[in-house]
Amino acid sequence: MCCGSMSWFPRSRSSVAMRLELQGVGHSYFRGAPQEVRALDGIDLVIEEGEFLGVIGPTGSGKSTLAQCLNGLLHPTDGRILAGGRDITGGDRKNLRWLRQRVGLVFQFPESQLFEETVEDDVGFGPRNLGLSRDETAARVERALELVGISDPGVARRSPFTLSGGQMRRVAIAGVLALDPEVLVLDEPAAGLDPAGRDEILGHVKALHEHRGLTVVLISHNMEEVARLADRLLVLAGGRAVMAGTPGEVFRRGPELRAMGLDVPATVQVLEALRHRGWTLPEVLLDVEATADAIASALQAGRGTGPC
Amino acid sequence: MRTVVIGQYVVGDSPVHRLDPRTKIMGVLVFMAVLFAADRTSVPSYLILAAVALGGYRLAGISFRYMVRSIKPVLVILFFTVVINLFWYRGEVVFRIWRLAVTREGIAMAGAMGVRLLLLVTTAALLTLTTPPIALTDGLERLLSPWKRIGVPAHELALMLTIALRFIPTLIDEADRIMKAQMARGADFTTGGLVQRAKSLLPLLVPLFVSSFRRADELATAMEARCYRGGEGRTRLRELRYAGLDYAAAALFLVLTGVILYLRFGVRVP
Repeated sequence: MCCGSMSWFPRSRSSVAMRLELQGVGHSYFRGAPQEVRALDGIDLVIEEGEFLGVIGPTGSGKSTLAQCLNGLLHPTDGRILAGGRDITGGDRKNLRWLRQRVGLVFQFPESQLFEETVEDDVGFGPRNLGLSRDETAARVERALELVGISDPGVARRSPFTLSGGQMRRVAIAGVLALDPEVLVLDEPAAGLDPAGRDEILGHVKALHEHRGLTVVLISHNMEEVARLADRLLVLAGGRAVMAGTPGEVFRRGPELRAMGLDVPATVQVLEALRHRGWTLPEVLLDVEATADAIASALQAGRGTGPC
Repeated sequence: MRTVVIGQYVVGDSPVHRLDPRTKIMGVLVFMAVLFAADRTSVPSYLILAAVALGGYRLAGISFRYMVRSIKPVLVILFFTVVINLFWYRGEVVFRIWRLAVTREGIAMAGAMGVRLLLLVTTAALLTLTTPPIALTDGLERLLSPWKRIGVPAHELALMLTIALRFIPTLIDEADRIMKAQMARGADFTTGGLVQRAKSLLPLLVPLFVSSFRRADELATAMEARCYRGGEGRTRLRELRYAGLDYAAAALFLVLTGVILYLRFGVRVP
């Protein structure tokens, strides 16, 4: 899917690790007004370099607010955020272009941000804003498009508005990748796509993490998605971090998740239903193959231990 | 984010709220006409007009904070109107600033214009504060319908207004989102010269237009799916009907007009 032989953009920046550290971060919209909304409250979180963090939570739990805080588009009303050791919430909040370049944020339905006449011009918008030369921009555009699986130069010269929804989405993501970020924050990157488009996008995200070593923060409603990809999960509810841990740890707490309007992946649901019927099975398996194997061996062992 | 409330309607059940929107629109128009017809040197005229405006707010149960807030957008215009008028008129010089003379006539005119502007804005605000946008456009449509015969598209105008009002907050949300998405790609909307800044709006305006056209298309489809086919022969869920309150308001405005016109012309007519 993604070309392993290709070299990633030359690293010309300082080598300070882009570790993101949130200390008691809170954010209120309409602060002081009667309709004040507490979107985030007391979030303590460290996102290590090279990590794949999944953020889940019901609608209105503060996921998107958190995403916008990570690259300085929103300034939290409480607490502070350190990016690579630098405080991005303090006095020096005016000039945050360096941060936006190193922490790439892909918004929900990013295809709505396309505006240029051709795909390559649109993807080059970020590099041009960084003041890169024409050649450097062209090189970055080509590589960014390749990273999202668009290598046909014919497509690059088309108008983005003639592409399919899935292609537009990938072009928009390439527009962020062309900034050459170290941290990629994606807000529901697969929302509204068909299953093939969804797998395609998430496959590229996975490859970026595994082959390019990008730190990825994936915000999603889809439990299967985060279960399969993330090393660690953060569960938000009502602006608070209510759970954190590996997918295995988090999805063990099915009843709590359901009470929040979330759910557990289908594999965990199947295992749970069978265990209720007395089968001896592990609590959490996130892989379909592994789940099938576990059920098969349980069958061979004589349909579990309890009554059927 | 969802901060902008167009029409700034304040929910309530006061006599002012219950008035027919047509009465309120006509009332505001009459009030404005009378405001400018009033004798500009007659203090009682303005006291009466101010009393009517304040009484309206009082009766509507709307705090004067809203009244003050409605003045904010026109403060600059108000300031220049008053200052220019101060220096504009020849007459009895009261004092001088450098070579500019402030005359008695200038002070009177500046005061009158300032008060006119203030009352104009605050009464217009009272209309939108006490009338939901939908009722407002409904009233407008009914008021314009007699002119349909000479080709005024009353229904279409009202519909356009309703749709525009409905979509302004949506568009503001959308603009905010796109702006942030472009800022995440290093766009800068705030610095640079005029040309530079106009150019930097392109990444915002193009997506906004694209999504507006898409939305318009979807809205048209949704309306057709519900068999909308224009205003011809259309009946309404809520018919506007004048009630006793409206006749009382009409009478009040008639008296007001009479008094103000009498104060201007009546005294001199033998």
